[in-house]
Amino acid sequence: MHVIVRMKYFISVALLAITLNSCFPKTVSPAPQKVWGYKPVYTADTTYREIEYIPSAQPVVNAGKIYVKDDLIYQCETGKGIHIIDNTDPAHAKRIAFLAIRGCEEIAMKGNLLYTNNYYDLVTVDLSVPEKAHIVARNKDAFYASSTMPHTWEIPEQPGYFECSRFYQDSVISGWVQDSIYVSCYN
Amino acid sequence: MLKHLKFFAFIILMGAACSKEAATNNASSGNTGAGGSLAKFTIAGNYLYIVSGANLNVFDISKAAPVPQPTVWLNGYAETIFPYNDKLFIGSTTGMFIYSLSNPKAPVLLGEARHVRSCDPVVANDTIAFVTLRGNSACGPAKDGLYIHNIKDLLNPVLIKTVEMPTPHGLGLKDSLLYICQQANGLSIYNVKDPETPVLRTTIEDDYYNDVIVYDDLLICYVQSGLKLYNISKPAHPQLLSNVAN
Repeated sequence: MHVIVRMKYFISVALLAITLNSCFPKTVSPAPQKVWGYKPVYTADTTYREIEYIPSAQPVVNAGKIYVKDDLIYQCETGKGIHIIDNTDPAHAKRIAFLAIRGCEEIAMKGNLLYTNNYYDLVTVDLSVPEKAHIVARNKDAFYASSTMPHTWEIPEQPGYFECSRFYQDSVISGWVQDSIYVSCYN
Repeated sequence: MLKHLKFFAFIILMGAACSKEAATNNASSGNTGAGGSLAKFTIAGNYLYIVSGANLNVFDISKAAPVPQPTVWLNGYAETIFPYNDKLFIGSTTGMFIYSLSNPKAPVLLGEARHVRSCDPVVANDTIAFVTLRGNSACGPAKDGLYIHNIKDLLNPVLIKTVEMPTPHGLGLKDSLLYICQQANGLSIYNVKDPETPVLRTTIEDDYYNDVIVYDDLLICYVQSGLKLYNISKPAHPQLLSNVAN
């Protein structure tokens, strides 16, 4: 958890400052800086694990990564799900369906199994009968990493300072509110 | 959204890296499909590989439920992963890593090409690896450009050519033609038959290009508004087939 790593680092810097303080009375310990910015709102929610196959085209708002297999192209609607595009005739390719999977950013396939991320989890979705798409396996936190570029849901849409998000089991970031925060991230 | 992202942690500055979406041309094989060069995970044989921070997470997917294998630790923060033959090419903020898949459940580092901190998708063939580096504030100080490495000796990739260009992003290779997405600067097509002297054939500047997949004679482009499909049976002269936008 990168926030915790940062806290540890801060604590060690603070300790160092305190140590140095005895040698150099003028040393000022680095107080965390407070600014006006966004902080995440966490909501207990396990419904994020539910997926839904919608047999109609859905609007593209945040186009994401692409994948192709046989006559279908898949494109992430970043954070929301996957557009399914009929590519039987590339001159008339069209979106035909949408697989709603929250947190989705990545796609890979093998046979009728689609692998994607449901926030931090790797989920395996059986698409043998698309209308009955369902999750057959979930590998918790396969996409969780400390100290890397944040996932899309870890960043407020508005630019500026924000509080780096934390990771809580069975909860999601449901929004962002402005507040006086300790600076940890910038967008 | 990510394209404009300028992210840095104030306390651990080096923790900041840049997310990439890879759209590249790992040829469709067996019953898997093909993803782009910005992908953070990929399937090779019966294994699924995920790059996540400094981890390479490995799953055995021979059965429906993925079985985790021991994590491989990378020497940097990885952003993209590209499989080619029995190798994995991993783009990280500090270099391109080449891993052997001779033991697919435990990839082994063969060689690496270090570079200054940046964002960098990779595509490769038997002898050459093409890397685009972006040096914006989120990614690092590298000069924007195409970096071409000779990888005949996998243990020692050698940088043989750098082509500066603005905002290079995902890329795809078809024979000797290289398609490079340059976001607001369009899609550039280079002839790389002689990798030491790439020749710009044309640039299509009609959209914001993030990534591509070369799928036989079809070029699938991930653009801001959705998708664009080109016929590339004449690789240097893409013909727009459809625009799957709103």
